[in-house]
Amino acid sequence: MVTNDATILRVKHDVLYEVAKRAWEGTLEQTRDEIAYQIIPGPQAQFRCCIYKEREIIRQRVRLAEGLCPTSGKDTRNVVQVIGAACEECPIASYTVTDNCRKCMGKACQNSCKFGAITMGENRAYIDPNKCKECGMCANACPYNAIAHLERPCKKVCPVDAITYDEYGLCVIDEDKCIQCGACIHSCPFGAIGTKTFMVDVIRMIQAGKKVVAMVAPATEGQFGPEITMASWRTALKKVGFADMVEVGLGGDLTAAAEAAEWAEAYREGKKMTTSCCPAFVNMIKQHFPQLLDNMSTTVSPMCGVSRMLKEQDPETITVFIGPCIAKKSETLDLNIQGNADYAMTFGEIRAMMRAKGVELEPEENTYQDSSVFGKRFGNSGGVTAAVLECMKETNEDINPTVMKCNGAAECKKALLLLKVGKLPADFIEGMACVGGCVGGPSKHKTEQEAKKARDLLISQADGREVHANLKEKGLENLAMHRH
Amino acid sequence: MRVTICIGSACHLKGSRDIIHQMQELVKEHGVGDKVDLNGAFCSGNCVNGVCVTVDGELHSLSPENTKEFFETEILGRL
Repeated sequence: MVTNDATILRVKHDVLYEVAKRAWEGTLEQTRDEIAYQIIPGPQAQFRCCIYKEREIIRQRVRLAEGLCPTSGKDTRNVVQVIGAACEECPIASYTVTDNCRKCMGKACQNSCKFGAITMGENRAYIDPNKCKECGMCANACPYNAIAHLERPCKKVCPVDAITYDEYGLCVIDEDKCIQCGACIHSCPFGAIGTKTFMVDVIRMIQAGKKVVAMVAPATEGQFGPEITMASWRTALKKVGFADMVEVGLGGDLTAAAEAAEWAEAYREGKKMTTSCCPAFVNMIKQHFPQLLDNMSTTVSPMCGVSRMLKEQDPETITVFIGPCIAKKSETLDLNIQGNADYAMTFGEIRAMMRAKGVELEPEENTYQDSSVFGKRFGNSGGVTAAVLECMKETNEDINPTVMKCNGAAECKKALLLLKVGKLPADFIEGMACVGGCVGGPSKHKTEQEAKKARDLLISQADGREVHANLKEKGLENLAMHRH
Repeated sequence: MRVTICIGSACHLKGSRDIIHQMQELVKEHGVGDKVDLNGAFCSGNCVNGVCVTVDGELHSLSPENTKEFFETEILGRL
């Protein structure tokens, strides 16, 4: 598929690869300054005004890859960060008259503007940015589509209106509003938004001889084609130095079982509740709907469930989540939850880390399974609901609750607003901040549609074990699955 | 009160996980979960002295040995 971000992705991956390679070799400290010169050798600039700007962008990307803020001395806590040097200050003026305008005789635009912002210029209508209130009436009134609504791509995709600008027009993230969903990252035509990574930390932990166990997201199956199985991941991760790998689908089973019990109780009390497994959705509740915190399930996420299981087996274990999610990094930073994952990484980061060691994902027979099919489907929109209802069926709960399945942050916001004003028609909310569920996450390798066939095939090869039976067989029925 | 503990690899090897665990238990023990917000932080490069812990933005260097005392004076003492 032709996409517009192939070049940006290549540059980002090159930076991650160079940082990972030097971290593995133990030369990062001495040679990090060489990376910018290696990626941008010059003397001709490839993308920007000059090689000096291009190199500065690489330097800022290197800092992010090391987990630092892009600009030295400007430390902020957000995981999602603006790479200042890379922001091209896209136009902010949001309603613009295009060449389609011939100054028609009707002038519906001028007549529809309540603020007197439109005058007739030499060749076309002109909108005075100082008078325009961005109401959009003129664009709707023009029958010839001559007025375009231009919005900065980053601002347009942000579901919580967290993107602002400084006095020079540079993108700034309002960290009190940002829910770390990562939607803005791939919207930027210059790749000027990125995230801090734990890649170097994970490499150093492996090098220090720690027992580092990888936990791979339920959304993973199908992302790399029908031949890359969970067994392929396990083999590759072990080659890199991880002690083992567990699929987080097993955590999906754990979360579903705990949430089913919690929801059944709430249902009998007549209390409405939401899911709590999507970290961006949790951030949305915490930062934008704090009055609804009491309605949020207290069950921990599948990632936390598996991490707790591993740490119960061996408290010295360091747990690392791998998936398509950015917000998971912010979940690992919430230390109010005990036993959660130590670090979270994206597919891109782990692949750079593997490639830097000469390890690739290789086709392997689909022999590894720790989770039920329901746990594996946690990464699809509607998957959590299906798993929770399955658990209710397995325990013979005689209830039939209705669930509003919110597919993407916009739907989540709408449902939470309804719950806030007491008008939610359903009993429960399944909140997934990415459209399609985790499989549509910002750091996905393939789109949901591209991966669907392979994903369905791989999951169809799994046996049909029940959720509770699976947990019982693994001795996990009594694992603590609540926040406190 | 916002308490931030570095979870980067350097601090991890100096015992930040132990400090986090102690803090979590101390918060529970004193029942101050609604007042103390425990957060992790990426490495900020200040790790030469010990594990980086900030309390409302003020930087301290801790070790697992002095965590309990620190919690009692700098955290409980300021609530």
